[in-house]
Amino acid sequence: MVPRIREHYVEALFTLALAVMFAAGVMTAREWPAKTALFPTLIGIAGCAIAVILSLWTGIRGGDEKAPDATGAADLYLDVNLRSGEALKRTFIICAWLVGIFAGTWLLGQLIALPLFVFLYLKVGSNEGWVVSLFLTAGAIAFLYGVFDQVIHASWYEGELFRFLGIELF
Amino acid sequence: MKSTLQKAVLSICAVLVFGLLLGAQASAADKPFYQGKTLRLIVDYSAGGPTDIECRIYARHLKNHLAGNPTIVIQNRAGGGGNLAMNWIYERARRNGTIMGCQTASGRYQEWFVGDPKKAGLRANMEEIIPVMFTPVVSVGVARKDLDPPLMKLADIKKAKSFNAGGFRADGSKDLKFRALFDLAGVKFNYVTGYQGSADLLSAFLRKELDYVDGSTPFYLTRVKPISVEKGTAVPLWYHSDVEIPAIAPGVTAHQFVKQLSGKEPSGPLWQLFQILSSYRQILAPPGVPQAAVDAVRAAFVSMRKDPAFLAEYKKSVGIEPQMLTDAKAIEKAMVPWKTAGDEMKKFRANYVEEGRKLAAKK
Amino acid sequence: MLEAAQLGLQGILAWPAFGYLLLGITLGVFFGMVPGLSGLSGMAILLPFTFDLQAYEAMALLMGMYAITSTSDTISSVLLGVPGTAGSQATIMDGYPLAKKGEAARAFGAAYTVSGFGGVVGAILLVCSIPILSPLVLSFGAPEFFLLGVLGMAMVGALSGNAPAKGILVGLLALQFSMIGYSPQDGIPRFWFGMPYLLEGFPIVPCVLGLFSLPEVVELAVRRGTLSEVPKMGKGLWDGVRDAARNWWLALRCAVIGAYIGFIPGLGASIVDWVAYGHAVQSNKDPEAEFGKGEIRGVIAPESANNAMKGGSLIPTIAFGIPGSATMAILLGAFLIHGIYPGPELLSTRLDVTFSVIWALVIANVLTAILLMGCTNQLAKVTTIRGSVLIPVILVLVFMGSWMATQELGDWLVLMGLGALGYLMKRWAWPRPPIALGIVLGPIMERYLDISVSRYGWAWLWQRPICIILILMTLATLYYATRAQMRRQQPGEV
Repeated sequence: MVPRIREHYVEALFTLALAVMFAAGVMTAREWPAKTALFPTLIGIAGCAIAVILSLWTGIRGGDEKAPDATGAADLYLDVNLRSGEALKRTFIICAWLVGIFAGTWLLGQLIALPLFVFLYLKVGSNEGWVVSLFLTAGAIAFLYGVFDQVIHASWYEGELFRFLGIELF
Repeated sequence: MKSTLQKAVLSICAVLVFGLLLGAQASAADKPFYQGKTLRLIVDYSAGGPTDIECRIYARHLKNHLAGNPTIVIQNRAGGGGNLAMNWIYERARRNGTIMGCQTASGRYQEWFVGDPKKAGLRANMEEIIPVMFTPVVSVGVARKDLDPPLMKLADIKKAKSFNAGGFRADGSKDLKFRALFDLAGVKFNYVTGYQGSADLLSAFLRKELDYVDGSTPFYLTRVKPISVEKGTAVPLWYHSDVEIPAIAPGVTAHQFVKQLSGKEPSGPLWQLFQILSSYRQILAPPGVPQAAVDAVRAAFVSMRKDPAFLAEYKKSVGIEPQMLTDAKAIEKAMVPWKTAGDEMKKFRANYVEEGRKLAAKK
Repeated sequence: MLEAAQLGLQGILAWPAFGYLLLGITLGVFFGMVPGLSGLSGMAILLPFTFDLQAYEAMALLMGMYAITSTSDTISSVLLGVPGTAGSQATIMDGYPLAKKGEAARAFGAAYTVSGFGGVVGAILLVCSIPILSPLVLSFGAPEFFLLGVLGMAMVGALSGNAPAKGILVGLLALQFSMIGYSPQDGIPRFWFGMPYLLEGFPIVPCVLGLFSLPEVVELAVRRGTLSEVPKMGKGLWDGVRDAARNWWLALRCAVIGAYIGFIPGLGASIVDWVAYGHAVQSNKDPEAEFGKGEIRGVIAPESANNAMKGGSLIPTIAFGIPGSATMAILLGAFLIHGIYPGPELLSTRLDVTFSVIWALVIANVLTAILLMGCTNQLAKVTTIRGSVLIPVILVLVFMGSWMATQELGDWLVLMGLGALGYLMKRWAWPRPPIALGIVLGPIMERYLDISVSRYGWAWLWQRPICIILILMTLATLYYATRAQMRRQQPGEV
């Protein structure tokens, strides 16, 4: 048994949000012709009903629920030991990195942002040595340029900064 | 005061720089536009589709015909029914001639001139997009022969008790086209739509879920013909082309199809709609691309049209010889039905789409 | 037929065709291993190079590559928790936990063995069905496709464990997601919020990478240390091979399931592994098996099925020129370039070409399994690398894999949005597999229900024999899921 400090309220709220989303789907579908609306309406009504019930169930009974990894569902579950305050902090840090990749690409394009991320994550984020950091960054550049640019001919996002400055980098 | 030596060095430098600049300019004038560059062709559908296959044939041969022998790269940007690629070309592609579209963008033109671009998510202003080259896509309509009563000659199609015609989507040009044609010719049919692609349609046709399918020449000549027409289970009815194509016999042109079955010359808004629905594979450039780039690509296609290696490969995949329009006037002429359609036609089309939706939902 | 088989084999084994086969295999290992790249990208890139080759050489190159992407995609699924291609999503469920337990080599041993086995079974099924190809493919119409979708969704029960309500809710959520974009018949855009990106619906690859891979990255970052949670490597390659041999019956069943899903156009790679996985969970009689925690059968089932699917997917392409997927459409293009018209010709006068394709499939599958087994112990060491070094590598792969869907920033928004959803679901023990099923099957069900009703009315429900069989199978699946559910709950509820 793992104590879940009021997290079930968050879960119940999330489920309730799903119910609202399903309901909104049903409302939107009212404007469409019958056939276009049929599936979204049926799914929406069923989804909304189940979500409301589940939300109440989780909110009321969630506190004494079994530990998630004991539910026997065919899925991977979060290790229960990773629920401390420190874990929360680390979760926010890695999420910030993910947002950083997105923002960096928006600003500079993948060909710069992704290698830059690799380098910063290794050197600044994880205190790795210069050799490992530079080696993996070089590897990332070679991989992105060699495989995705030269072989696959992927179309890169041209960073907004360079678009603004009118510089054609690649 | 500067010494004589300094003056001499400075003047030599000035002369050198001037000379270099002149030389560079002269060589730039001589240098073909695409020399040392990469031309990216943006395909609006995913790899493996008819547009992609045709564009890859172009890409393969374009290199040898485009002055300066640039690298040609194909990029697929599928999504939004072709709108994603067109929006990207209009909004984000570099306007220096290194990016062009290789697309079946006739649908975008139709959406822009006779549809509702905003509702369809089309943000590119199609009047500003530069048309570089158009190749008409010939569509062919085929029917099963085992109708009740059997289809022995063209006129029998009007006697069929049940005739199921299949399409992709009520508002798509494919569906509108055959509906318009059958309505003009007075052919009664049960409209079934929602199939996912031409492969899906063909399999429904083969298992007799459908009695009628249509598609472009590669679809007909390389897939429908060997498997059903040559085995005597199906027959081509019509094709949409200004020139007669013997390979599609006994099918007749759309004009003759309507005339033979209705006894009248095709005319009126429905026929006008049918003309608007013409389809092309196109090379398109974003607005503002240097004219030199457009001219170079057009010249390459003119030269490609005479290349036996290209023609042989094109014919193998597409089934017919390419009718490339590379002349600005010819392209303009092809765009006349779209540009002159007007608001009346817009309303007519919208009503006709709505009618189709009701028809498909009838059961 | 024997003569054609011999001719086909000679054609593939002759030089330089065999060289092209080896080249294809090498490329296939790469395309399978790198997330976001797949048999499709490989085909699109290789196609132009086959124009100048002879027919046998072209088939050797393309099939060598295509056949084995579903063998090598296991590598990133097991080692990084990132599916190498859409066909190895389910492999993560138990393959990745095995790697965490220090048993990556065992997972590989089992996976490669059944991949090779599944690939060969798929090819044999293809050969066996040559005489009955036409009626087989034509017996499936719109009503059957719809009911297949329903049967697939019934698997949600098996994939939801003790949380059936959550499983059904997740399934419905996925179906709701799948409604995004143009409606199939009317062409009316739904839930698109004015964003053209959404008009053709959610692309599956960013969804899957977000749901399953990002939460693993987050967990690895939070947990720190190495990917393998134990200091010493556990069971090895040969244990995996023995596991595979012990579960040959499961592997065979899943191979047959895979081949059948492959031959039905439109289903294919994205769900074949889930259906096989669901089957493994549902048919499991071993009370000690814990799926989702490193159960070897959870690796065997999807890996056998996704290789067998390749053989099955060739059936409609060869028999009728009906490509069931974009990859098959490119292969069809290759046939046409070499003047080979699918349909009667490939089953009569050019049967040797068909056999060259089948032989390429068999040889590539066997060779790749052996080749990759040779590298297993080296590969398994990846699990002992520090997480801090592994995370940026995984993230570059995950982000680029998603980018290849439509090459718009929207792909990354989907990735991150579904990543957040996947993380919460993982945290609260909501089953995630129903999402992949729902996103793929939703449009299929809606499309073919519409077509069935508009073409046949409702009579197909009781007039078509295959429909009746499919309805019975669905009911049986639901019954077994409910029964298993009740059994599992009884001891816990007291």
